[in-house]
Amino acid sequence: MDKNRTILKTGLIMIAVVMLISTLIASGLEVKRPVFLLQYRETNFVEDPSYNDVFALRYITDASDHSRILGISFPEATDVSFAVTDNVRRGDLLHMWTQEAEKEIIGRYSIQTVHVEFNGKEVQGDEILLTKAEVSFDDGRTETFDLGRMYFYRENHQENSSFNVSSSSSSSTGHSSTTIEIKSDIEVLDVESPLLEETDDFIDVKLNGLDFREISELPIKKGTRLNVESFVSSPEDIISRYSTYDLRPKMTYRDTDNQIRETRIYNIFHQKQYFSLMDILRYLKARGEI
Amino acid sequence: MTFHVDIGNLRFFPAFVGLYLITLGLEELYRETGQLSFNKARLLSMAALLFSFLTSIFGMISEGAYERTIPLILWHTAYQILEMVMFFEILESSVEYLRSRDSDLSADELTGSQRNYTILSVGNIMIFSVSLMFSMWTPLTISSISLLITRIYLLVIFSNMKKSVEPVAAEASAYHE
Repeated sequence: MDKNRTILKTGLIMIAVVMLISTLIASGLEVKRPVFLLQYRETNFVEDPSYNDVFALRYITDASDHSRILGISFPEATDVSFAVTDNVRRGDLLHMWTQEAEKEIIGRYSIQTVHVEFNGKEVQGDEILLTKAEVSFDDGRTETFDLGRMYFYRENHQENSSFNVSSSSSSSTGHSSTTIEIKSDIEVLDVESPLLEETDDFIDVKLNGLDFREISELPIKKGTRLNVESFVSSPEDIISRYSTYDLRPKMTYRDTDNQIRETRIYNIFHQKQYFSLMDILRYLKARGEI
Repeated sequence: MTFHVDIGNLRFFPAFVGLYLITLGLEELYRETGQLSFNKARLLSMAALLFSFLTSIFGMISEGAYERTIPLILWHTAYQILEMVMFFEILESSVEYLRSRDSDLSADELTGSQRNYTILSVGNIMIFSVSLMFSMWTPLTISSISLLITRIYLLVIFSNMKKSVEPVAAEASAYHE
């Protein structure tokens, strides 16, 4: 009997020690406020009063943080009404399942997604750049967060008779390719994006094998093809690896009527889909949050 | 003994109604045997009853708002410890009762079972609490299943104990008559 009591006492001490260490580690890893994953993206919006554009913001917060985001605004676009919405492709059965997966618990952290909608009709000018967000939570607090650099540009439907996109492909390895059939002679003048320079280390864009930086008055004859390739490798630093990159560089060209026109290059995308506890810890440490 | 398994919130709290019945049973045993150890077990079961009741009330009020907070995980652990100590004391009281009735063989068997239960429970509580703290799903699932198996083992112990105690109790009542 005494032996059993000794086992019980030893067990209680062991539980107490383990829980003390666990509590100390968990307290040390606590993230005091949500950390929004940075986004570097160019996104189009449409000018249709009956249609709202929706974009998603992902953030890491403490697993015990149950506060909900009620409102969001952007100091750089005070004239536009942004609203938090869960009205995201409701008709899609598959998406109804993924709605549940929008809160993922990993270790002491929770990765959550908030969807934001706005109407492009309210945007003054052709482009807005958002770098910070003012977020209101259901517990009454309002905080400002860094977002990265999110460019929203007005979709400009230009009549385009010079070329026709014949095929487009992208793979999970980060390689994407678009083949364009040229219907009349054009001259590519420039390929530019406000985000291409800073993604130099891990994103490459090539037009007919030429680096986008070398493009200057590149003539392309009628009947030939323009092959646009992009290569996105996994960034080395943890902050970039956990950031979203969705680049849509603008290709400016001159057509046979000597008109200067522009079109966008798509499929240059990087977003971390799966998270590991060690990577989250490295990320939060790099962001100075733990 | 009753189970209350809430998989949604990963709560493994026996309903306080079951603990109330355990408290009544221990009170009866204390009254009949006069053994102080049964009273000690009764006091522990009352504490567990209060703990379980408060947890249920808190769960209803908070609606999961404090889920995964460190204090709530520690509260869960404290409850599991209290429950383990309560069953340890119930088993110890039973061993003492069997020995007082010269049923040493049954008492020795029960002592062995008490040891197994204690070791299993300590391991389960440690793994379950740490897994819950750090959301480690695989060990959490394993320890949850193990907690359930330990509870079934406890039921088997009590079932066997009933078989051991009945002849002793019958003998004692015949002696009194």
